[in-house]
Amino acid sequence: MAREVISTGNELAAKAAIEAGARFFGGYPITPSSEVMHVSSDLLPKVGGVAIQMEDEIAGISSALGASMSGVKAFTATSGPGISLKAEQIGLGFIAEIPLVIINVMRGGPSTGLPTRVSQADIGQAQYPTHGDYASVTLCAGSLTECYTQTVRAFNLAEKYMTPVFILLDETIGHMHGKAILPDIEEVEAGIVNRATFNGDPKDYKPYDVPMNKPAVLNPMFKGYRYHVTGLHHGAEGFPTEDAAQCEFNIERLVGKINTVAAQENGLDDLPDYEEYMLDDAEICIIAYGSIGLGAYEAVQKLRAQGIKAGMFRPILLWPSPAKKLAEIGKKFKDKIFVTELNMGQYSKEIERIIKRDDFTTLNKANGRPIAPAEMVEKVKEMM
Amino acid sequence: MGEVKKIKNLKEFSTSADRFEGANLLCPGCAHSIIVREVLNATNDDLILASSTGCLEVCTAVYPYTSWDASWIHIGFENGSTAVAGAEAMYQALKKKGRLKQPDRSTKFVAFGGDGASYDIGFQWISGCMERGHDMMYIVLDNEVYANTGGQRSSATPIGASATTSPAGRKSYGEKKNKKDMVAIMAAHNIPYSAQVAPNKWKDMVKKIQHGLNVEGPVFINAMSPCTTEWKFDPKDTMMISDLATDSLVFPLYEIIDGHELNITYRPKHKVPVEEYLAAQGRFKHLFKAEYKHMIKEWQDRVDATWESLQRREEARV
Repeated sequence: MAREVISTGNELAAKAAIEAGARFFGGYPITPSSEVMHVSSDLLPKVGGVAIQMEDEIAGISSALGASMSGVKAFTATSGPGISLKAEQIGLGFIAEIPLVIINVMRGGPSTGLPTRVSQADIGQAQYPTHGDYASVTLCAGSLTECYTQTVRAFNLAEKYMTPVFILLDETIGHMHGKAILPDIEEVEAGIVNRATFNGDPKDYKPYDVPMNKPAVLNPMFKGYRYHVTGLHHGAEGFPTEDAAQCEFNIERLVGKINTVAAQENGLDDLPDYEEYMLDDAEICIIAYGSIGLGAYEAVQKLRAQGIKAGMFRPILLWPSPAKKLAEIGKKFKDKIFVTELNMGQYSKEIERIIKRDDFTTLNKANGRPIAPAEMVEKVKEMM
Repeated sequence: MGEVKKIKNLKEFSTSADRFEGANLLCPGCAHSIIVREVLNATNDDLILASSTGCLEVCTAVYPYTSWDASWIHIGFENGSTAVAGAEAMYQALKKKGRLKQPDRSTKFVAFGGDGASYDIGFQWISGCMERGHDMMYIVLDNEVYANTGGQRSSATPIGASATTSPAGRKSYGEKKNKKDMVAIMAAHNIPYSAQVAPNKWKDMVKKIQHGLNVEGPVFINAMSPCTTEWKFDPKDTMMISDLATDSLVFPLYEIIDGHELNITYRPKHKVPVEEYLAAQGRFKHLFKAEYKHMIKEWQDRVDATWESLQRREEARV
């Protein structure tokens, strides 16, 4: 029995986090994500968890990293300016391999930008939020239901790959109030992934002594397994090193455990990385994600009513992108591809990289306003 | 040192719109605009101003309008202090090199920030400015809550107040921590002047602002700014709430010179019980329920203890 609820995207993301097993939230007020913190501070204490409003964004993510190191599933929520502040600690999450879920409810930028208006301009930031080499995992919710299901998935991916995982909402989805159909709690709990642990003699425990493309095995604290966690390059025990071979191995493994695995295994888990909507017989492919996908459903229907066979491709796993499928779309639809997003073309660049062409049509908006289905219809008609 | 502006009377002072126009989007009854106008109207000096992100910044410069008739910088949530510090440092450098066109004009540097921007996210930056000794003034518009982002608690939120992230209910009386003593922390930087001001005590405010602008070095001012939206009182009652705060000594008015010499600048003739201050605001409504009523006495005891301590410090001159 699925559950039907009436809620907002931000509230659903917080609810999902807790039902996915999160017991710690550390964050800081920021529009349009604050409701995630409000709901967390209400729900977490009821399940024996902790929600702390910290003194700033950096403290918010740092407390969540600390909680995660202790073995608890932890998360933080913010918007673009908050990610900018958290950037250094996100990097610590990557190199020390600390699982963490970061909910980013996107608003217009750069800087303070458009705090109360919608944007998808943090797509690029989610791919490379901090300095150095690493591979980001980024999910993007395209409906109220996905605010829940993809947040659950974000926790499972974080634990499986021992890495920070972004879940991107945008202001529209985050504040949208409506009906959502959620999976049963039993179903959610059956799918929960917990990080691997080492159960042997503490003397033999080496958290980072793992083969290429495999994540570190970080045992929870307070269990008698001692190890060193650092933002410096480190060897098998976690102690700092500048050994050239070790540093090279570290970076190749950090990137490979996400990108190589995703390429070889067609994604990072068994869940769909994208949605295809009326794409089978389509002659035009609209590519949209997040709240813009909601408008694209309607655009497809309107175009079909007017005799234009349109369909939609909606990526859910943005990074690493579903490259294989995007390449197929590039081949199938040739120049009849229409990419529409609330930024100056951040995901278009990825599509261009994959299909190795730039002859597709784009409709970008970066003024804090959504893209209406009518605007998409008009643009598609121009392509015909 | 600039010439100290002569203020004739309250009418002239409060209606003058030389530097800060009344047309803005702040809530009716918001004390921010009253305080800012009192500050800016206290001086004829040229002003370089900055605001951290917050209610004041959001509501006073909505394109194509602005309330500010002075040089004004809006910068991130945490950096109002440092933006002004950078401007001040460059001003001093240009002055030293003789490159100012009008070197004899008196130019002052003032940053505004809310309590979230000052007590929390911008804390270290203000500390840095005070420590480095910039010739500037930092003013906190202290409404004891993150009013611009939905009423979350800040480290200025007083104990027992209900806020979005410290909600009162069956299991909680709301905020659990005492308010951070920012004036003491800033005074501990041994800055020449730090003080608390309130919008209802305008003469006291003018005196302190004028003194602060004329001393050399960093100055810290904590200005109580009753928030009609988050403190939950009728917009017409801003000044009444301010009076209750200063007369109950919940918000005592004092100054600290050179980090140690404390002067109490307002002693209420008729001390009001703290209970009256609490009762006038929705954020403390739950404290009057049987289970939390003990909090009211604790509040009174704490206020009395702070007042006692301030008086002892004033007498001791240390």
